[in-house]
This record gives sequence, structure tokens and C-alpha cells, in this order.
Amino acid sequence: MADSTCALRIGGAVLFFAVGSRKILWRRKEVLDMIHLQIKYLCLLVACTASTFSQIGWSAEWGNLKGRFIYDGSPPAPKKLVPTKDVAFCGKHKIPDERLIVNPENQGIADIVIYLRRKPSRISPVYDATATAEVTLDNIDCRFEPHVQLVRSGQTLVIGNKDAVGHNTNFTVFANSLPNSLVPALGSFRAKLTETEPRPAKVACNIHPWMSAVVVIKDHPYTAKTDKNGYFEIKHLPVGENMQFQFWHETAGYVRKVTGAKAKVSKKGRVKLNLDGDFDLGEIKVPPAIFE
Amino acid sequence: MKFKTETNNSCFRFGLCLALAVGMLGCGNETLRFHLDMVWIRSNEDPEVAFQPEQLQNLSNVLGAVFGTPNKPHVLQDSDIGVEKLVNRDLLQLAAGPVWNDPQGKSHGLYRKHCAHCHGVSGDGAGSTAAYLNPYPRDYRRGIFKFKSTPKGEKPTNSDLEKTLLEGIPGTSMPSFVLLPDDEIAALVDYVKFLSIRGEVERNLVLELSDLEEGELLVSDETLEDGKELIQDAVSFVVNRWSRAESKVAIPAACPSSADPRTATGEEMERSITRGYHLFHGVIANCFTCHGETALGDGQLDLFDDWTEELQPKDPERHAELMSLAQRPQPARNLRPRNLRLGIYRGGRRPLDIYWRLINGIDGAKMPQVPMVDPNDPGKPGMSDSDLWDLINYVRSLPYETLSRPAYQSQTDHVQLTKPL
Repeated sequence: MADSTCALRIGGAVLFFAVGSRKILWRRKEVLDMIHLQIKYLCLLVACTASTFSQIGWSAEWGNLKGRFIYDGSPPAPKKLVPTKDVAFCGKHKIPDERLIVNPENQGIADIVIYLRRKPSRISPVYDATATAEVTLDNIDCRFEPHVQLVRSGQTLVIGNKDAVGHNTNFTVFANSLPNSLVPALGSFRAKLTETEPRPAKVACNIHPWMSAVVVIKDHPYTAKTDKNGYFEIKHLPVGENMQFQFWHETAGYVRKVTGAKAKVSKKGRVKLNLDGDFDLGEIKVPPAIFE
Repeated sequence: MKFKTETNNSCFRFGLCLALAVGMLGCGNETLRFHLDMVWIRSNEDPEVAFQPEQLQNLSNVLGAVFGTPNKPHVLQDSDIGVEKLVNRDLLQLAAGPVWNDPQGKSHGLYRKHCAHCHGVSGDGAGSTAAYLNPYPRDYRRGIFKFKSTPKGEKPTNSDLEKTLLEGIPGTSMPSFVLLPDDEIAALVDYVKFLSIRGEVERNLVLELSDLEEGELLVSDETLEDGKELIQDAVSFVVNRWSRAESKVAIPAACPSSADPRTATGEEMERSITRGYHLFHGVIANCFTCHGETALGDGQLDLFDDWTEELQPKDPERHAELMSLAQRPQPARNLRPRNLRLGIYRGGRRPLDIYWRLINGIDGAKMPQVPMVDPNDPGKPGMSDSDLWDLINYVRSLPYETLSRPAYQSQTDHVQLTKPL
């Protein structure tokens, strides 16, 4: 008798435990479902907020950097180059000396190169469309057009010749492997650039030794050159990232000893920035001595 | 110039530590060392802030750890970088060090026995006899070689360097070493490659050094790990170029039988040479611009080759300073386009050799490559494969062409050749 009561009790206990635990399990599932639902809504909410933010506050993610370089002295008079070769053709054209161009009206220096020294962690998708584009460097009227060209590795440089005489195009590069090729009259050749170059590369035509150009080859699109009034702008830079920019000029090398910039410029012509939006470096005065 | 290499080599680290330590103790001066490339260092120095002596000592120590000394060259053992695949350690040892013969009669110190008096112990082209030679001996440290089967910017293959050693360079003081046994030639090829890799790594490290802030060391005790990666990157960058040379050889296009000296009839060959004559004076191949209207090599006389150009800043004081740093013989000479009527071809006289000069250009000199027709854009001017063989036939015929042949008419004639385009 005692035994059967005992067995009944045990059975009851087991039964109770089983039912109870199932109930608990069910409840736990319910709770989990609710949590899932909450997480889903939360995600939806976050996504909505993020997309709204990215639409409204787009400029908060990317910023522009601009500034202007001016010659801190009386501008040197523009010079002309005298062709010594193929005079019959090249002599017909006025060939300006483009190794230093200062605007006589407003002292702006043209063709100063500003580049981000290291590839940033983020590159704006705005630049995706041009990542493998073709960029031209033409021989026109016995000079290079443009005098300074900015290229991103992955892009192709198309070297053209619009003249009636043959040219050759010889690059001084470290990382890329570029030919020194003849470019026949009205001809062209393509050079795919794959590597970032530590320095802006000088370009020469050895047939016409007065011809020179500069090609800046970087593994990111954040390079700029000053226009004829000395202004530059680099657009869509990542915000909140430590970046270092280099100022460089064909004749001066690193653009050193500048004054007036709204950020500290190092001895080697570099400026460290961490943008939280657009930034204007202001008018940067360049001493004439560095071009001598 | 960024390359990824993840390696961990305790030997390398130990060597680096040791070299840095030795440098600090200051007992590195007693052993024979490779010279630093002072011209390149000076050219990359900030005009106002010179490199500190400690920085240069550090650079020298780092290079010593990676490449050893002229008596004990070191081959970096790191399979991820692969120097050991390019240069054989035993052959290198045979070429390095002072000159002596072992009891079996085997020669040691081959580089100093055969090469160093002109090319210098460090391969800087400033050996003791350099001043008496024209052209001056080559400086290997830029990693540029002129006579090779690969295009500008690529390295020569082993067979290119062997050919230079076996045949010499006609028209220069570089003799043929054809009488040396094969293993000695192989040892010298490896040693030249070794000196060239060392020199180019040094140049790349100087660029890195010039990027650092004032007085900062390339590799210090604090930056040992970062520095290790920097050096491995610099070495593997140069080594990769050498490793891929074989794959960059220009394979010659088939020569049409009517332009092939072995099969063409006399008449066919004459027509091929005439076509080549017009190409030589045309604005596509443009040969006359530098080699001259009469191919005497007098068309362009004011250029410098890449080695000399580095020593030619406009400022005369600066030029004099660089010349003294280079310990380079004076005066700096202009580049002479080859006189094609002499029948002396520095890179070899075979049609294949001339093919390579035309299709690749001459690295370090200003000779550009000829423009070939772009298959994607056949409308644009350029040369076809058969044009190239015609031009080769003309160049090879030039030593035998009579000088009384009237010169090509005038500048305007050259321009008119573009009309049919």
C-alpha cells in the first residue's frame, strides 16, 4: 500500500513536472517570439532612420577641402620657350614656359598639386563611375595638354599626338612599368596604370627637350591641382578620418614654408586634417624663394 | 609602391637587431662595406634639413643586415620574398670577397677579379679605371639595364645578362668573358643581380626615409616590427620585378619570307630595304630625329642618359657637389644616338637584337619603342610587323649604303608622309 502511494506520488510528480516544464517551454518560446518581433521592428526602425539620415545628412559623411595658393611677391613675367627641334612646325606655335605660372592679376599659382598621401579607409561612391576611365595626355602644338594630369591607378592613360610631327613620351616612374613610346603624328597609345606612385611623375618628350608634364598617379581619387587663379578643391573626402595632404609643385618640389593656411602646415609642405564637414584652408602664401 | 608581404622570420629579425646593435657600438666602420648612394640621398634630402648622420648610419645598418658586406654577401632567406630563388648563395660567395685560388685551382673573388676595377666594389660604376673609359662603366644600382629582351621598366633575363658577359658590348670597353667557365659566368650574373637588387632597395628605402619626419630613424628599437615590414616590402618589390622578367620577354613577330634574309630574293630584299628607308625618315618611326638625316647619330646631341641626368641639376654648384658625391669621372658626357653606319651594334648584331631594341626601346637611354598599330584601333597610325622587319633590314644595310646617296629631301618631306593617313 505504502509502495503504491509512493509510486503514485512519484508518477504525479513526474507528470506535474513534465506538464509544468512544457508550459515553461511554451512560455519561453512566446517570450523569444516577442523578442524577435521587437528586434525586427527595431531593425526596421534603425534602417529607416539611417536611410533618412543618409538622405538628409549626406554631407555629414563626406566633406570637401578647398583653398587657394598665391605667390607672396611680385609675379614673375610669363616666359616663352624657344623650340630647337622641328622648328618648321613647332616654331609656328607660341610655347609658354609652364614650369611656374603665376597669374599677374591676382597672384594665384597654377598647377600646384594637392594629394592625399595614403589611401583612406573609405572612398566616396561618387568616384566609382570614373575608377577605370580613360584619361588623356595629349601632345598639342609641341607641348603637353594638360600640363599636369591627375590619374587614379586602375585608370588608363591615353597619350595622343595632335601634331604633324612625331613625339615620344617618357615617364619617370617608380612603381608602374610604363614604356617610353614614340607617338606618331596623329597617333596615340594606351598605358594602363596599376600602381600608386610615391611622387608625382615627370613626363618628358626627348625629341623636343623643352616639353615637360607631370602625372600624379595615386590609388585613390583625392588629388587636385590649382587652377589659373590658384584655387583648388578636393570633393567627397571621408569625414572623421585622419588624413595627411601633401602640397607639391613641379619646380619647387614640396611646397614648403607657406604662411596663412588655416591649418598647421609642416616643414615638408604637409597638412594633417580630420574633417567634420567642408573645410577651407584659406589663402596660402607661397614664398618665391622655393621656386628658385 | 605598396606590396603586401606577411612573413615572420626570426633569422631576419635577429640579423636586424644585431646590425642595429653593431651600428650603435660603432664597430661597423672597420669592415669593408657597400657605399651608400650619396647622390640619390642628397637628391632626396630636404633642401634645408639634411638627413642626420644617425639616420644614414641606420640606413646603412639595415642594408647591411639584409645584404651583408662585399666580403660576406647575405642572401635573405625568406620564401615569401624569394631573393634565394634569384641568386644562388654558393655562386654569390664564389663571386664575392677578395681574389684567391683554392688548392684545387678554383678561382674565388670573381667580381673583384674581373669587374670591380671598372664597375666598383658596390656596383656604382665608379671603379678606379672608370675615368679612362668612354662610355663610363655602368652603375647597376638603379636596376636599369640597356641591352635586354624586355621592355622599359622591366628587368633583364638571366640570358640577357649572360649574353652581355659572353659577347661583351661592342663599341665600348666592356670585353667578352667567353673564356670563363660556365659556373663563373653564372656566378657573375648572380652577383650583378645581387648588387642591382641591393642598390634599388637602397633607393626605395631612401625615398621612405625622405618621407619621415626630421631625424626619425627608418628602423629603431621602437619601430622594429614596422621597420621589418617596410624592409620586406621594399625588398619584395624589387625581387618581384626580377622574378617576372622571363614572362616579359618580347616574342618577335614572324618575319615575312620576302623580308627574311634567309629566304628573300635579292629583289625582294632590295624592296624591303627601300620600304625601311622611308620608314626611317617618316614621322611614325621617326628614327631620323635622333639618328640624323644621314644616320650618323647626329640628330639629337643634347640629351643625357638616366644615370647622368640625375647629376645634372641646373645649378652649377649643385652639379659639382653631386659629381663629387658620385665620385664619378668628369666630365659628364652627353648621350650619343648610335651612328648606324659603323656596323657596330652594342646590344648585338642579329636581326633579333635589333628587333628588341626597336620594340622595347633602350631603357636608361632615351631611345623610345616604335609605335605599333593598335589592334583595337587599326585606323590610328602605327607600324605593322612587316614594317618592323623592313626597318630592321634597312638599319642592317646602312653600313653598306653609299654615302653619296642624296639626303632625304627636307623637313617638309617628313611631314608629308603623314598625308596618306
